[in-house]
Amino acid sequence: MSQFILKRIVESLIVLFIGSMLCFIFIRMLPGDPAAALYGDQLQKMSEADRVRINENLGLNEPIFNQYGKWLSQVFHGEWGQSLSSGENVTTIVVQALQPTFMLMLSSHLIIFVLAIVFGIISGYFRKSFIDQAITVVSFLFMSIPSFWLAIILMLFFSVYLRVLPTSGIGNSNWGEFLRYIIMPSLVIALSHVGYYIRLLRNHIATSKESGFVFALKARGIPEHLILLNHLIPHAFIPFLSFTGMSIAVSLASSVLVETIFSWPGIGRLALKSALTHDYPVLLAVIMLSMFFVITVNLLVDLICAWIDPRIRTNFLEEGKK
Amino acid sequence: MYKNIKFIFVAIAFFSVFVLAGCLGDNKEQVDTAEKKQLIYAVESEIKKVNPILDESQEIDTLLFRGLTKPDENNNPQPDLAESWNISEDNLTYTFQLRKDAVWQDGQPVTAKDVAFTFNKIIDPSTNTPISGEFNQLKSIEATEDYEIVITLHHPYPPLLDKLKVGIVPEHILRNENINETDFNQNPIGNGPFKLKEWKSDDTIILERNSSYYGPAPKLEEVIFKVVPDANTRVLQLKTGEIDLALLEPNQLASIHEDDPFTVHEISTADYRAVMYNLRLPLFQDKRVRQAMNLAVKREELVTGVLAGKGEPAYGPLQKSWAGIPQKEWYTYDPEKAQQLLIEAGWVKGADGILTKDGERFEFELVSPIQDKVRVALANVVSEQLKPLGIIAVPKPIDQHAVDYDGEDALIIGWGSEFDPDDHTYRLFHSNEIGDGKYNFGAYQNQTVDELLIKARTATNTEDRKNYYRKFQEELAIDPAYNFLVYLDALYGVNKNVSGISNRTLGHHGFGILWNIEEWDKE
Repeated sequence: MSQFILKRIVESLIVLFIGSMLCFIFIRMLPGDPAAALYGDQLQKMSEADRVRINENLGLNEPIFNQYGKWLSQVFHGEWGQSLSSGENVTTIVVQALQPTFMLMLSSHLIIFVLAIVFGIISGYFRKSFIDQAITVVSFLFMSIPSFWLAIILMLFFSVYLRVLPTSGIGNSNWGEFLRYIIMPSLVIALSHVGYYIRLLRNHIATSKESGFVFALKARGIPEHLILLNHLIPHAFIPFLSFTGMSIAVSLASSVLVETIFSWPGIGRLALKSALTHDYPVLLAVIMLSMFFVITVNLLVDLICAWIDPRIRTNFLEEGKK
Repeated sequence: MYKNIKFIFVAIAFFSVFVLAGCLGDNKEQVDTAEKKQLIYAVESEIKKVNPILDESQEIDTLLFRGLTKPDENNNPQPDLAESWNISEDNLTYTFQLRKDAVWQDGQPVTAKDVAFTFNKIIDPSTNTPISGEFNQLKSIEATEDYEIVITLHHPYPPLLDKLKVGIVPEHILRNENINETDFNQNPIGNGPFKLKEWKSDDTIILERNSSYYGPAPKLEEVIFKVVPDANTRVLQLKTGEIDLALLEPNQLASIHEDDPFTVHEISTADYRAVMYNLRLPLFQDKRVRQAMNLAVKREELVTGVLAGKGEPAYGPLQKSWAGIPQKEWYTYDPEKAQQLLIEAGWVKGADGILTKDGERFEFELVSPIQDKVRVALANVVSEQLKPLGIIAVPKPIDQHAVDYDGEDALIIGWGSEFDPDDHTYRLFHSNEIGDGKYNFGAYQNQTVDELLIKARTATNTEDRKNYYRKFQEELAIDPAYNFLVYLDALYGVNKNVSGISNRTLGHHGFGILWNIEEWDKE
């Protein structure tokens, strides 16, 4: 097992390394540069001489591989550099943005899990019933609604008409108020993703309900509710978890949009802002962090699956032996 | 069985987190402490640093840092930190007397040393600032006494007094700092009517009244800058009263109702849009061709169609200035005259309806930066309006970073200074201003214009200057460098409880709304 984990970690490090190099090179290919970003909509006032001068000050005129080497050695010393646009320490900026995004991910996935587990199981267990069809329609509806639209509608409803929730921002550090602020953005992320989870659970439960082992259990006279609780649900848990691993990456990406609409000061908005202002050190740090996060979550999911399902565990152990 | 226990364990783990979150929800809401007179301003982009010498147009800077001069309601420079000034006969030496009661928030006096430091930093090549170009006429700046500063110029530069509104920064704090990266940029020590109270982690910035400010005490107790990147969210927040002030877009006006707690202030700006011709191309050499295109554009249509009526037709660069003259009569829509001029210039319509001359078609690319929706729309409509004449202007929206200002056939340009008329005329239309870092992108050359602009910038008498600018505008209409299209209005959504907003003509993108913040009040 430990050998397996070690192998996965080494693989992850290689992915991170290659990813960082590609990102470093690709973000330089975007049209524009930090000097241009500094001028903003006054860009027409920037002379070529200014561009060269400012990029020189920022150390961007060196050959790109030298810059990458410097950056990499910095990173190995735990130093992520300075933001090109504000001069602040990158670590500080990123750490500051981390907590809001973490909270948003946590709360939206809590909503997703609760909704998906309840409705996915109902829908799968009573397949082709009226309730299944209703759940299916609703989940397809939410899958196809663009999240930015849903966000505006929720704001209109809860903030403008009902006046019960604040439209955007993160509030003060007070917990109660924070919850009021986090409800809408988490709902938007949750609703636009929950459909996939419900479909997944539904299909899994519905198919395994027809499979041989359920008939066998029925034949042994085990009550239906126990079959569901002890066999069908645990059985569906593995694909559900694996899907979560993949889906977290997607929801991280969609948080860019949601965080922008709700003025949520998280990683998504930081990514967008640093991409727009060509703030390379910040953008790289954010990308590396997201990569690290996605890889870690997937690793964790694999481990949890192995822990739950002995078959997968055996596979791991065999792989480890090889 | 083992399997079930594990499953239940995982399920319990999930549920306990959820229940925990539910408990937190029961916490009582904290009520805002005592009602304060605070103005909440929603801005589109995050404020990353507050330092007037590192930014061109950032509203917050003017609340914390004051400069030598400030504009008045008519955009004339008035004394601020400078009490008075003398200008030498040759217009090259400016001597300023500073007021002696101005102090930094930390109690240190604001002296001539700070002023000299500020401008030397702005022109220092190692400072990453977009405003160094505004001060390239500065030859030297010297603190001759504690409260006296002498500025000498390379050439006469009438807009200098307007430009000197840039905030002064404290030398005693920044002397040994790297200005691009210093902590000061997030912990500013200013001399203005407000000072930093708190810079929150979500980039909301709370300013409070600065009791040591030398000027009249602001009526507002706090000004809060809140980042709201999404334009629709800003409107919704105005509706709920969460914010008091935000810049709006014309297409949002339809969603605003009378019973909303805010009104829309339409403020005129000097910010215009025009088609700039690259006169390096033979196509545009003949001024009759440019005159014809000027006559073929329906400017009212552009205002109603593209700007939702929030703007006005543009006929020249100084329309909003004291030096402006009405120029409408030259360029009201007149397709027959336009046709006539083109025929005189030797262009005839071919079988396909497109103008040709010596086997060449009248065709050029009209570039606009894709990030600016208004400019893209203007390019499209202008292109349509030129079609009936047989002129093919191919709209070409490209990434703003890829625009080659000196090299495109024609492009939708935006300029306009609300201050001295010299600022955005000499630098745009004088033939000395062609080349890298200079703003005569279209290589416009006209000897009469050159002479008039020189005379206008060196004349000391306002009447004389006005006279020269009148002649300049007449000449520019005869030999157009641009096809002026529209002036934009700035639209601000303002809470009905807020008062004190002035209607001073604003600059680029409605920048400068907070210029008289001391007079703002909230019920």
